Amino acid sequence: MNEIKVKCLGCGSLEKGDFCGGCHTILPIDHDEVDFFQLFDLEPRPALDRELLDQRFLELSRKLHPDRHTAEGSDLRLKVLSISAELNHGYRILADTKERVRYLVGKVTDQEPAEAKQVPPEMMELFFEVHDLMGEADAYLKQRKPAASRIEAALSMSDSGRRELRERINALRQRGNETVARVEQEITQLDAAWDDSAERPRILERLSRLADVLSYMGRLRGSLDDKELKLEM
Amino acid sequence: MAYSDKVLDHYNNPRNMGSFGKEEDGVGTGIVGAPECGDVMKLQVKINDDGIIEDAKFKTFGCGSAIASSSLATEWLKGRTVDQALAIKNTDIVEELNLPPVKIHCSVLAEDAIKAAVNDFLNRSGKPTQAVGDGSAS
Repeated sequence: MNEIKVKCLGCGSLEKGDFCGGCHTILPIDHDEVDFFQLFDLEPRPALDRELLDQRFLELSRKLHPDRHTAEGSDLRLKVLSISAELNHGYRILADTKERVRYLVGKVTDQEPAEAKQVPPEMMELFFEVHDLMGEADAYLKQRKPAASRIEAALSMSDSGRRELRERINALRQRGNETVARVEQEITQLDAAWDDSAERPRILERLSRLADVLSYMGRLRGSLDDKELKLEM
Repeated sequence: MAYSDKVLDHYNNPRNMGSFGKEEDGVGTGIVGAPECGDVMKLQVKINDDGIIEDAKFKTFGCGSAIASSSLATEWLKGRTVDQALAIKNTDIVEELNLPPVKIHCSVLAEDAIKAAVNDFLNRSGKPTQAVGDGSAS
């Protein structure tokens, strides 16, 4: 346990072992105060080195997994459990671009990112195409009779109506992926200008909008996946 | 969570789904979204020379409550004047559809869509508009 080197989540001081030298106690973690970038020793900025995050997550998890500390005193076990929970939560946030960007904007501006009611123009067209395709798929599903036998089900696999719908779903999913890739690319570009403080407000505003686009794209993809699944059944 | 019968009815039989050409005379288009849940709502009104809403259409990408809220909104809009349309409050929709607290934002989205559509019409016909999404909706 003495080898554990993590940042004390209680007082925020660095590299303490099993006890915090800064506050001389085992403090319960203040979950509002945990900084996930700090926890993984990563710089708080738009772009993220995913391999480094994964590596740090594995290292820390290995050291802090509650199962490795079953023989410790109950206070310490609780602390480990608590840090372990933060690790998992933090990893989920940082590994997801939308969540990470929102988290970063929230940290830097000290407030929840404002959501725009205006739909990002770059996804408007895609949204209506998905909407119409979902309607067509619903109409197809409604008229389709349940297969009376396995042979009938197997035959319906090659049903041209269904095949066409699936192809169109895939095409739209592909366009969604391209939109997400463009967003990721722009985040990398914004990252390059991140250290320029004059650019900071513009970057933060843009990051919020890009997070919105990712949120909408997640919704679109969910609908496409869901409909595809229904077509498979 | 169980949807109310009215929500289910609108969800299964949406009224006025579709769209008008954006550039058509008398048409106002409002597109609003809720980034948190990813819902997007497009609502259109067709307003005649007397300032009466003759027809309304919607396309909503979202949960059952969002679809029901916009479907209901288009029903209510028909036959109303511009001012009466702007007077529709999200709380009216909540009450009619019996929406649970977690779905109230769907009704807010519908109210915003109505305002956006009517204001688009006013804009295009050169009349003064009213603020959209000013936070007064609750």
